[in-house]
Amino acid sequence: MLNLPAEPGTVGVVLLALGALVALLVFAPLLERVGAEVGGRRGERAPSWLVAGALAVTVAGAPFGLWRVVEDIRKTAPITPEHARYVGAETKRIDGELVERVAALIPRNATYGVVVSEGAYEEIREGLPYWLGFALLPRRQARDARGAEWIVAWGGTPASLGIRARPPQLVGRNRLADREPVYVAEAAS
Amino acid sequence: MIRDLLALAFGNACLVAAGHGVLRAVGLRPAYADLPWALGVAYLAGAAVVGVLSSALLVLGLALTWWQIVLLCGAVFAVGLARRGTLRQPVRAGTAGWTRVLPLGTFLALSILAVDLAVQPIWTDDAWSIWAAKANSIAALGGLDPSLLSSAGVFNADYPLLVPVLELVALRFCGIPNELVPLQLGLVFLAFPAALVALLRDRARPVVLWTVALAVSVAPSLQIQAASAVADVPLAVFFALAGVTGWRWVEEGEGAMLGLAASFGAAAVATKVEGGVFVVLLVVGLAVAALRLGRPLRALVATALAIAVSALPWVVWARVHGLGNAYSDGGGAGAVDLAAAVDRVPRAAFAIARELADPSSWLALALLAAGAALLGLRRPGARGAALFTCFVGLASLVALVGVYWTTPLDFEFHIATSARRVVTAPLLFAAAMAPLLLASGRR
Repeated sequence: MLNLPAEPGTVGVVLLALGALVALLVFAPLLERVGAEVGGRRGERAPSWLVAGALAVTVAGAPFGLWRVVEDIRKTAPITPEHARYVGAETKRIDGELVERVAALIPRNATYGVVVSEGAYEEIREGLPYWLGFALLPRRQARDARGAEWIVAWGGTPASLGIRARPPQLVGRNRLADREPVYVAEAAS
Repeated sequence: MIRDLLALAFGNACLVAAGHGVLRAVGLRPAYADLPWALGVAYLAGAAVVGVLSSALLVLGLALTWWQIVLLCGAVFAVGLARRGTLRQPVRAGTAGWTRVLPLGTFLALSILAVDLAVQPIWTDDAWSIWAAKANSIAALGGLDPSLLSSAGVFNADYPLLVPVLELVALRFCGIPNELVPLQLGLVFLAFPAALVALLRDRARPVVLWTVALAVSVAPSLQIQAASAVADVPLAVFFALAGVTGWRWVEEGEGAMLGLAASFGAAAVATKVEGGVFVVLLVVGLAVAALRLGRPLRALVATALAIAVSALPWVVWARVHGLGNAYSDGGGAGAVDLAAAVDRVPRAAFAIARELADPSSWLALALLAAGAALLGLRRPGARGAALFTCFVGLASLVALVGVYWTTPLDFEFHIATSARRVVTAPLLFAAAMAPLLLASGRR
């Protein structure tokens, strides 16, 4: 859940306390009613205790848990379909809008290679190839950028990252990290 | 959005129809008004069988367009209609008195979750890098493309196809890009409590059954994973249902239950790599239990063979095209000095135990599963089921410890990013068995 509250906050703590209080209050009647339903061998009360205990724990925790889901709905629902397409990139500090602009420059049937500056955040260095693999479909990502038809260079020009290419085009700067530049270039023939 | 929701409903109605075909094919004919059977079991049986068959059809070169999905569902339904002989109608049983609040609570919790799934984007790493990437590539390229799947941008390319197939239902019926993929995949979880109740209600007490269903519905980790559009919850659902139906075959010898166990077991294998290991352990547990009860093993052996054959097309195709995963790309178990890494075993076991014992993940679910297994071991009428549950559940956890022991990935990273998810299937299986373990007083 994208926007699940990380901390309970005041409302969460109140719901947890209320849930626990209600669970304590209903436990004895629950035990009696569950006992009447479950029965078991004569003198065996453990199944009733187990089921009533599980219900009490559920009563205690469910209001808080469901409130968290409602909070997630409240904060996630306003996300537009356009933004939803690249929310996953943002979890890796990758500016998804930039990637959409990259997609507009590389032909759909082309191959591309990815080079990332050593200075980029680790999340970006590790996540970018896979995000591009998803977001640039059906374009194919080459295992070695030097053999690709197009180059996506993140954090520097292809030349500064060790790849020969035609004059690169600056696509934009990553707003979610250090405003590092992102370039696209056709590979040198 | 409304148009997409209607299209999604149509696509899933096709899966329900296919599920009714599966139920008829195994000898069951639930009433259409019997919703836990008609929508719960039928939906999951349809998703399982269509998912497994679609994986094979993709390997054979089909694009799995919307009309091909409709035709496939229609064919599965027709197979059910063609079955001769008498069909058993499952008995209907309801709740009475105060216990009616339990299904109401379950329905409320699942309804809120359904809304959350409908607004959820695809955002977790595994969701987009493994599952959605594969589904989108099939949709964009008109089928499986080995050159794309073996390219650098696809993570864990040899993971099985059932989850991408289910996501394709959303992509094909609603169009791409599509934001309803998390809801589509989450339907497997939303259908599970009703399916479990339907499968066990003639055998377990309503209060126990609905307590488990409610505990499943509100377990935070299950809700979060369902909304993450990853494969662990579908695997857990299919594995748990395979276990429950398999055990019912052992107890009562009803072929219909073994047929369902085969469907759900094949689906578990087609969902995630570890599903294959879990299902092998399940079959071993069923075989031992069947032998103890003097039940002939022929049908079980045929079931195991059918499950193995169902997995072959994708396994062979992936091997032929050299697809790998992070584990194999890292050199596999051979890249690890197992003697030097033996300290990983207790650390992995501790991490798994800690995840299972975390009430903020499972609320009452782990308590119910463990408590029912312990009580079952003490009760003569439930001891066999309890031994089976303990064997399959614990052996699955041991298998996971083995994976962490032999992982060529960074151990701490691997366990930190996966332990919470991978324990889901063994836990949900044990929880699903709980109503049977607490039911011995009834029969």
